[in-house]
Amino acid sequence: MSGTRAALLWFGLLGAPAAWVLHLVLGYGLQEADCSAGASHWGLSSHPLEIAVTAVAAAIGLAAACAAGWSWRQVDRGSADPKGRVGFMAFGGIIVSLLFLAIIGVGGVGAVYLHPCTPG
Amino acid sequence: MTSPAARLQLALAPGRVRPSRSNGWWGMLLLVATEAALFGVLIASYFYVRFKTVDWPPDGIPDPNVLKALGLTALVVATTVPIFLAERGIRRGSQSLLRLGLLAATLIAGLYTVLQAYQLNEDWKSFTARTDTYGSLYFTITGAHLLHVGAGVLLLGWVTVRAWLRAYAIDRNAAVQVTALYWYFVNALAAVVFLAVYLSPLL
Amino acid sequence: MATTVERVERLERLWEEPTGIRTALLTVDHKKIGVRYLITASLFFVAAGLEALALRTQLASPRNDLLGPKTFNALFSMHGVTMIFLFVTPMLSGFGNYFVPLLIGSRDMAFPRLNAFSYWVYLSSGLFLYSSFLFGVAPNDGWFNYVPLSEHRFTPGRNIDFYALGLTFLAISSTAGAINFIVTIFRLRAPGMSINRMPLFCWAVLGTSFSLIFALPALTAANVFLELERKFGFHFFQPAKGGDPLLWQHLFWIFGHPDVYIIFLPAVGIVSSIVPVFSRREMVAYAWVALATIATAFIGFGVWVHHMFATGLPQISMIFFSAASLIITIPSGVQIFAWSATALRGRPVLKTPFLFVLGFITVFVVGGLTGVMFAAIPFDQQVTDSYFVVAHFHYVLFGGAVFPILAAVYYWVPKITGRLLDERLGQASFWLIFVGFNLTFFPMHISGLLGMPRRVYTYPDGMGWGIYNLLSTIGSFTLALGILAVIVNVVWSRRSGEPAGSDPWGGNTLEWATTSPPPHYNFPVIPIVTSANPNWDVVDRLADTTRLNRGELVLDDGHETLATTLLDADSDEVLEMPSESPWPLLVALALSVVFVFLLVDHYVVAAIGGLLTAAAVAGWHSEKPRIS
Repeated sequence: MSGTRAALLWFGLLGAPAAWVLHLVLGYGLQEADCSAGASHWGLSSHPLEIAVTAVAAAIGLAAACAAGWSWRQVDRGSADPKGRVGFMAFGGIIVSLLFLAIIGVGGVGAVYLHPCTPG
Repeated sequence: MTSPAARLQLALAPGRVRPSRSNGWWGMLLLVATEAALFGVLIASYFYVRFKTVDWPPDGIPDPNVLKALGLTALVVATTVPIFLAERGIRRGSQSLLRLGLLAATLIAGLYTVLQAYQLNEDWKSFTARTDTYGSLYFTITGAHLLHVGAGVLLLGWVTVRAWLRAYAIDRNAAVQVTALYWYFVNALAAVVFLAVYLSPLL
Repeated sequence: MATTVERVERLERLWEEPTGIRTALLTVDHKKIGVRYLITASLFFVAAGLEALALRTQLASPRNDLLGPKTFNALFSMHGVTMIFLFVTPMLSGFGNYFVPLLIGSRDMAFPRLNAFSYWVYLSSGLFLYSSFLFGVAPNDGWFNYVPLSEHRFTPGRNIDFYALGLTFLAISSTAGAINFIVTIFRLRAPGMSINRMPLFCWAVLGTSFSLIFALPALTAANVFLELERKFGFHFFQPAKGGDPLLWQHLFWIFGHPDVYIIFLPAVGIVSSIVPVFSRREMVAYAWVALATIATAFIGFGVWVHHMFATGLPQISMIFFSAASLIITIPSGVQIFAWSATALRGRPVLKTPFLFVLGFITVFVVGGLTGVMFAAIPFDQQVTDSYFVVAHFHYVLFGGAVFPILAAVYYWVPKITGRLLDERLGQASFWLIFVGFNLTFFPMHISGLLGMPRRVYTYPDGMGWGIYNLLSTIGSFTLALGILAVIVNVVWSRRSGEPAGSDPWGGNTLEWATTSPPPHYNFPVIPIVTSANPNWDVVDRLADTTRLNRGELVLDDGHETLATTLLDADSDEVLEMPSESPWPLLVALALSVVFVFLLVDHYVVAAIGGLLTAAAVAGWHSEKPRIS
């Protein structure tokens, strides 16, 4: 399998989970920084940044879903896959991407609409 | 370690001249992953406490000496070069590159260990782990790294001795690969600890 | 040219181990080690069960004085610690150890000596923890050991040191085991067993093992911080010194939540093994189930703050974790639908293993429903630290792990002993356990909503909680009777059970392609696999016999097994595996010295133990493979 094909296959599988991790770490981290005594002087106003992080994460997740979808179509059109392993990874990428996009979406809605630094 | 007879039995894919990484290499990769997670958690704890603390370092503790730390970090990270030359050397059959590379790395690593231990001892004179949480985190993180370096020095020493006793060859050097992997990790860690604990307080 | 009989005899000579004490201490046979894990874990289960019965007896009526608060605290703490750390994960490890090499068509685990080492350290750390009872200082701050109560100024006794050091010791065993399973599954699968043809139990073990690799360090860090505070006066959790008690909670739950998936996933793997066999059709949506397993493990790392919804964190911080906690139910739901569809579209055989699977589905779904309720922060904040939580986690843990373990006992023990368990006693044990379990834990939902807090050694009259507690206690003794029935069944069947033969259930995976019990070398010839249900592929299994007769892939030149490539399982190389060795035990003993002397503050001796450990590890790596 060519390097590009393999890269797209792996990105399709791992891109959305990686985007979610980014969303979680940065989203949570920025809120904590903004609301804390020791880091608020960095002036990381969290609201626009939360929106930005959510948008970037969603974009990466969507790109991964597309990459997985493309890989899946390649298999469908008959590219070599004697053991079904490539199709498995491509199909996996599609459903995994949708799942992690859902988490980014639900979390992002909250991050955008809730008020920063309100205790829960 | 495939006997000629066994190789005949295997339908080795065309173009596959040497087998994949050894089991031991995978094992070390996973050990590296778990230790990396450990340091991840230690450093996350450092920033967690830092976010809550208005002055950093608190309680009048002086800023860390970035230049000294940079020098020491550079010293240990530099050992990446002899280690790389040594492990690539033996994969191409060069005993001399292997031996000299390993010896150089072991000696420099040993020197770094002594110097870093001395430096931490000096730091302890101005603040200790009992002073406050900053102190506890500082010494726990740097101490944990030093312990990993120490283990690495033992490992390097062991492999160096065996290399000089001609234990390794072009097709029998898994131990060198595995040791090198661990050592690259320890060096990457040195850079991360430097950025987190020595450089970031200045931000 | 050797004949088939000569080859098999040679394999037998290469792989057999003599009986006796020496072999018992030196063995690296994954099957023997697997059985040890199963027996040791079962003993810890009984211990934790007796602790629970004592707790339930105390709580049966209000203002009871059977147990005082100090004893009660130690008992519920050790009940939790034992069940989670010393029973459920090692029990599943035991099944993994015995069956993963068989399931993938291999002759051993990737690191046989590391396997033996993992067991010795598990045993040592378990004894270390339980020895605390002998000195009257059992851990007593709950299984999650929150600061500040666990700090030195509030618990000066050694209770907490047993906890922190004991669990750190155990983590070494679990990490080693996880590394072993991952490399085994990555490298030793039979030719043709590409990742999409791997048994679902192996996917589960893979997910579990990666979770252990990344989650245990958080627990170790927490325990190390705590011990540095307790023994050397460091500061991590004290606000007056710039620290934060919530740091313990974060670190603990960064481990603690993935831990529940570490418990749940192998159990779910067992269910995925049993459902197709007892439905007599292949698993519906195999790919979905495999991916759901890994997705659950992965998302499990991003939900930990849901254990801290009542700690005053900012709303936006918590919402990320609420989102993941909601969505993580989807992959679990997918698996439940897949199992249900497989059973409904198949022709189910309602024997004991399948009954326990049905019990698992019922109980786990109830637990899952209350779990979704917890993901809603406002509801969570009302029921935090009440018996509603106790009900929830027992439904998901007992339902999600113990029922599948019991199913595995009835399903897989016949492969280990060569004899089936009694079916009627099996069914009776199932009903006793199912009824007893629900009678014990369902009333706790109610008493929790009525306000009964958890971890109380007694409660007042007139709160309306008494009746529910009494029902729970009656249920717990019923449950205990059911467990006793299982134990009796296992012990009895070893001698008197009906012979099982290679394949009593019509299994679809490779462990059923060899004898019961398997020979020391597992398979006389390395199987070649072309689907996810290799034992149902009659043509392939006949081809194995042909290759045995032709001497292809018999690997009888030494103590050998086959390594294959990671994704596609193409043949890669022949590996010479270690046999009996003293080093695993010696390293484990040296480590025990380290931990015992750290406990009693003799740091110099502990350091010497550390050097002995390093020396023993060097010895281990100097050992030459023995070719008999």
